[in-house]
Amino acid sequence: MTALLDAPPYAPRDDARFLAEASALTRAHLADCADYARIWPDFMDAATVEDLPWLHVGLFKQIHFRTASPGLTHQRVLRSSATTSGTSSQVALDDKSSALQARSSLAILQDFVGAERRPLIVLDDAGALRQRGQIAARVAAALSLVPLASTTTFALDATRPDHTQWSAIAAALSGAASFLVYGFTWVLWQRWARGAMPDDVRALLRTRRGHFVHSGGWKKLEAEAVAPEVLEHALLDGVASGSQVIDFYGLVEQNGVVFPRCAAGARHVPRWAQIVVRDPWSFAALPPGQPGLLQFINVLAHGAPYHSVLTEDLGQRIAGDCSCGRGGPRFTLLGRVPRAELRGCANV
Amino acid sequence: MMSNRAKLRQLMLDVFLLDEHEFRFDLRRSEIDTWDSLGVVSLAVGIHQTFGYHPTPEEATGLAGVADVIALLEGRGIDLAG
Repeated sequence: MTALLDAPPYAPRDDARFLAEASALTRAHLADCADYARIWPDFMDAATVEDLPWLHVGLFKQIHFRTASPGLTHQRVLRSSATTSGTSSQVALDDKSSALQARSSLAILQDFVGAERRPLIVLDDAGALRQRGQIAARVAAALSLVPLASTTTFALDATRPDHTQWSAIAAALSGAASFLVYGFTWVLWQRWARGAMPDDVRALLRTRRGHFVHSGGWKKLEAEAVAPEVLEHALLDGVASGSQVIDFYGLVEQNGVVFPRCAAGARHVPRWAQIVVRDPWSFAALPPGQPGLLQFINVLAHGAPYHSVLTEDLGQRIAGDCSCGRGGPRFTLLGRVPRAELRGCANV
Repeated sequence: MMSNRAKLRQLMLDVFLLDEHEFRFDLRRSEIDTWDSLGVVSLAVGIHQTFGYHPTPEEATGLAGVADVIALLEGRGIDLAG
């Protein structure tokens, strides 16, 4: 496992292989994770992906699942950002899954931004990298772009909350034809689109092609009545043609599988993952076009049973082919279940 | 003014969350549990911020100890002798 990663993410799918791998992974978690086995004691096999057991994302705040399969070495714990209750999801990362997840996120992001290495500007403090035994979701998101970076510049300073290191950004941009910027959606708006950008940085940007990658939610922007197209216009105004804004949705409980929004407004599922939309009352699987709870399945998660999770996010599958040209299942994100706990990292 | 050697020592303490007594100039990557893939990025960013040189991805992943960091910086004309 898993040869599914050997082809591009939106190449033709091998759904039989996916189901076989997902079923085998489920059995491995049942054998080596007692907490998981207590929840799904009777699972034997799945005839369809809809039959695969799932865990509700809320459980990852309560139980620190860990699958102790032979040969796995657990590393850091991936933590979601704070929620309204002050608790965060915790996912135990391991060496095998981390390698697969790095391949996955790189392949997905390359499909959207290209494979060339270029300066990466992260709108965060480098201090966020310095944590023992854990890694924050926003750092993991930024790190997924590092393999595409020639240099990495963290442009904020936690000790100076209103300060953006524009001179470091200018230094990163000089000598490069293109660049990448990653930040939480709100931070990208506040510090870049609405930031006090010096003239020398504006001049550098005019001749450079950029990809602005953001995640982490629209709540604060909605409060300021900033629509996605307003953010996009603000970011693309003043940079070279061919620049793009990419809004990606991801969950710590699906680490390594991110869902950037394509030009047609859809989010595509790579061939090593699958989506099921479930009725919020009966949990029955719903066909394309019907909104429900999003369940995501992947075959990358070995260190804990986060390979199949039911989220509190609402969406619907889209039937037919996408005008962007990417294949495989796709969906639109509609929001969160009313009264669901607000999350810091889900991009809704 | 802090010497480059002292700056490197402080950088290693900050990046890898080491206590003063844990640091040695012959410390190897295998002896530092926080020098994982995240630590590689953190060290590269820290070297850039402290010494003005950004290691290439290959250089950053190839560093196997403090001695390698010193050799990398001296190869870029940064004096770490004193």
